Amino acid sequence: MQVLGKIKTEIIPNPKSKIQNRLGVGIGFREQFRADLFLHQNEIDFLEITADHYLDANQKKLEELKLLKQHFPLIPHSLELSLGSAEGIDESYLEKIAGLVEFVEPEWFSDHICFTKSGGVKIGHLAPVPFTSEAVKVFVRNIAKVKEQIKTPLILENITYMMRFPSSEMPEAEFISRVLEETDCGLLLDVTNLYINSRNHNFDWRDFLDGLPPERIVQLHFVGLHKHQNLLIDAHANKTQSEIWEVFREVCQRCDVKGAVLERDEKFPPFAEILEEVKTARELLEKTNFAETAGV
Amino acid sequence: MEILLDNPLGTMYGPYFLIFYGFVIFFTLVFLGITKSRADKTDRLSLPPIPPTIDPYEIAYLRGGTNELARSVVFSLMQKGFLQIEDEGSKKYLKRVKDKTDTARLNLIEQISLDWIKTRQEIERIFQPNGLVDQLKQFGQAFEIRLEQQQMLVSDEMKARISRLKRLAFGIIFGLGAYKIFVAVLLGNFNFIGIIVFGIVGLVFAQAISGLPRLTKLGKRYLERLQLAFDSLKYEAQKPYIPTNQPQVVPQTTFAGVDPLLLSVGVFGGGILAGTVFDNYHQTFQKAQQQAAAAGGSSCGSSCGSCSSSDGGSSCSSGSSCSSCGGGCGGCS
Repeated sequence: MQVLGKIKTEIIPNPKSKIQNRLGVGIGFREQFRADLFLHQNEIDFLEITADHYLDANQKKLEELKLLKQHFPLIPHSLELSLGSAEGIDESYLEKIAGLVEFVEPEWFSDHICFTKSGGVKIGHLAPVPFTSEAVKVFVRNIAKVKEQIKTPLILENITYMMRFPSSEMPEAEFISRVLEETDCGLLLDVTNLYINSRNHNFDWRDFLDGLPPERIVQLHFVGLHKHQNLLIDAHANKTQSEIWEVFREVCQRCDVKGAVLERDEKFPPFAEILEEVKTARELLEKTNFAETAGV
Repeated sequence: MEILLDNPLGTMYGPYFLIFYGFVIFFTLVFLGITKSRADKTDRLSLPPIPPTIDPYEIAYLRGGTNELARSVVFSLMQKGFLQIEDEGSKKYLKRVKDKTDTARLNLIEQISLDWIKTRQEIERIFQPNGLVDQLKQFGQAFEIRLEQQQMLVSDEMKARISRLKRLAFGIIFGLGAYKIFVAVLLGNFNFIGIIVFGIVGLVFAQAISGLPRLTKLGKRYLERLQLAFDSLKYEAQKPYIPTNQPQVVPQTTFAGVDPLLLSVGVFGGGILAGTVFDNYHQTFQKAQQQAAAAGGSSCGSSCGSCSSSDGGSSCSSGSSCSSCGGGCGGCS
């Protein structure tokens, strides 16, 4: 299978007009879930795959990708586009992502509002950028490059951070809004990250939501948080807590969310527990569906 | 009569004829191989999706025919506590567990199997005439029809076509060699050992090349895809059954409507039970099937599953060894 991209030059229009299909509730694909997924196909609406696992992949992973594609709508979620890097985008990585997106044919694909490379070196985690106009320009420049290659809509995810840059010129919500507006991208709102940041940095997550353009929120991530002394950590290892569900519910009331993904990476519970969380999310999504409540 | 002897082939110098005969055999075998490979066009078909409700017995049948079906059913009955293996000298028996009588939750295939076993049966008998394998043929036929419709199994039409080609290849190899020997004898020349050797080697290769696997290319790919999909289940399903000193929770026997260990046995074969509390089952059945084959039963000589008796049932031509069916060689046709 060819997972190398072809160059595309078409610029993506506003994601609001591009992303129409509601995918429902899915999970982040992990190998440990594979057998369970096929036995519970009807209970999972779609899968989010970590794009990086399928770049330069061996035959077994490529077969896995074909297998997943045949049974579920897939959304690639990449880790290393490093859209916040002032040095620009790694073109060979971008080309591989383009190839994967072309093969998977997703409704959208996603990466993070962060940088993961500096001076050509991978730093190994999602690092926050200062909330400045200069950083917005970096995102605009890098995302324009991505859009030159990939026709499929790109959505951007908010991350957690341990400290704020003193040089930040604006609140995070304003920064994200400006990036979204100026790049014409959608938002992958990680409600767990939002809640964790709000607690670790003492702000009200509702105010944060007030500052975001609701029409740009396309997808949600959710999972339980981990408490370490006075700090909250996004460990992807816990069952979703009630406070996270509260944020989830609120976002669904405000926005026309197209999909939500449970992100579990560690301490895998019995699959029945995963399905229970997916079911809860689906109920919330359906009950509080923005389109219905807004009478659209 | 004169034309029979006085023609370019009849008068061809012996060593030259051997070279010519070798070429004829070689090209006949190449033609046979290519035609057989092209006869199965199912690699062009797209793989069917894995259904959300999956039948471990049907997968076991796909993997190894009625023999594998019987093995899976017996395993299921053992796992559910209805049967146990009993040693008596050199013989092994399947014995019905006395106080386990709640058969209402068993499906028809399991009930028929349990009825056949009655209170006790020698394990070897499963694969012999009128054994459990014969009792389950009706279920096997139903699976066979469905799988043939999906083009997972080699069809009778394809078997007949390859069989005709095989006869043609045999005719060419045998006929040409026999003719030359006939001429040599008439001319008083008895130095034809080379022709006999070439002919025998050619016929052996023709037999091997013309053998068809049970599964089509599509069936083989589908089975591989199932094995990929349920790869992690294999290890997870084993865990509760691996002997340990730690207290264990009795595993639930249903999972999305199907027992995970039974599904694993269906998809991967009894080999995955090695090292679990059912290790005895795997070893016993492998041995029993070999003994049954030696006694003229219907098995293909190992745990590979079914072979048609018309092919002698002695070899797997699919390229993989018959004795390694834990991974699913697909049996013989």
